[in-house]
Amino acid sequence: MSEINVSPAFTQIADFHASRLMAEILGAVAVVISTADGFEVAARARDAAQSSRLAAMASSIAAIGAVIGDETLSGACRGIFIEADKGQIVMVEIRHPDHILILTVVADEQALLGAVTYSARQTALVLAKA
Amino acid sequence: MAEYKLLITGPMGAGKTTAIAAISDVPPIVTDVQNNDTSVAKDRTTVGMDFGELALENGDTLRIYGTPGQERFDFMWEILAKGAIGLIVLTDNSTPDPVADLQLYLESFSTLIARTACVIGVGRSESHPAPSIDELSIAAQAKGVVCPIVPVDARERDQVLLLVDLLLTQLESR
Repeated sequence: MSEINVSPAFTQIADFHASRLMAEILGAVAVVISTADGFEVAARARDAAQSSRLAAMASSIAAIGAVIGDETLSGACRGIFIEADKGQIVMVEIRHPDHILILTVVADEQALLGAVTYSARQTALVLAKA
Repeated sequence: MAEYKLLITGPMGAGKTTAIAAISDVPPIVTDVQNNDTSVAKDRTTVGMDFGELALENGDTLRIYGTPGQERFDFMWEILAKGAIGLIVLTDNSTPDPVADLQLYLESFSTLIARTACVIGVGRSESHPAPSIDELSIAAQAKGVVCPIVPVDARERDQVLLLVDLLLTQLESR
């Protein structure tokens, strides 16, 4: 088992916000806060087995998004939004001074993309200063 | 002029990104981020993919993709293996268990290897002579893979090109 380079204090705060988002977002299926290299820091999910997988996938997708932003001269990638048949997935970057992290929210069809995005972005801003 | 896709895989730190940079004719696309795994002394690690291009003498082009090394990114392995004409496995003899590493990748990419071809490049074998090429060959055979296994310094263009040549030669002889 790998040990990750994130402080216990930050992990505790991230855990609180993962729990809060899971409760607040209508239709939330999973909330995962992970490092840029795909390690889960905090998570809440209807299917707990899904969270470490989501952490790794968020890492890959965010990295590819960053390259696309760079190659197209669009600037740094702040977020990635996936609209699927049965829900939506929002990934936003948490620009903490010590770590770049990713907040991923998976929600079912009850959720509104705009509402999920707003909640995720607000939480990312809070965590960036934690 | 045709374009072919070639895949490079292997454990974290084996030199996949370096190997692609060594032979690519274009600036490689790299998706590396800060490494947070304290068990590995490495500042950055690939989490999406690497990409480079290599023009062959006959006018064809090789599109070379590198996978992330860690097993938690195995979903990217599947995505990147699609359509590949062959696989280069880079191993690192300085890891705690190079044989287990090799077998993990041979097993994970067994479908691709079965329908295409494979070459194994062994990194850091000068500083870490064990396991020997023979031992790695036996480990590969145990996974049903018989293919060229050669020492490689991923920083050296000629040595990486040799791996590509060995792979293409196998494909031509099929």
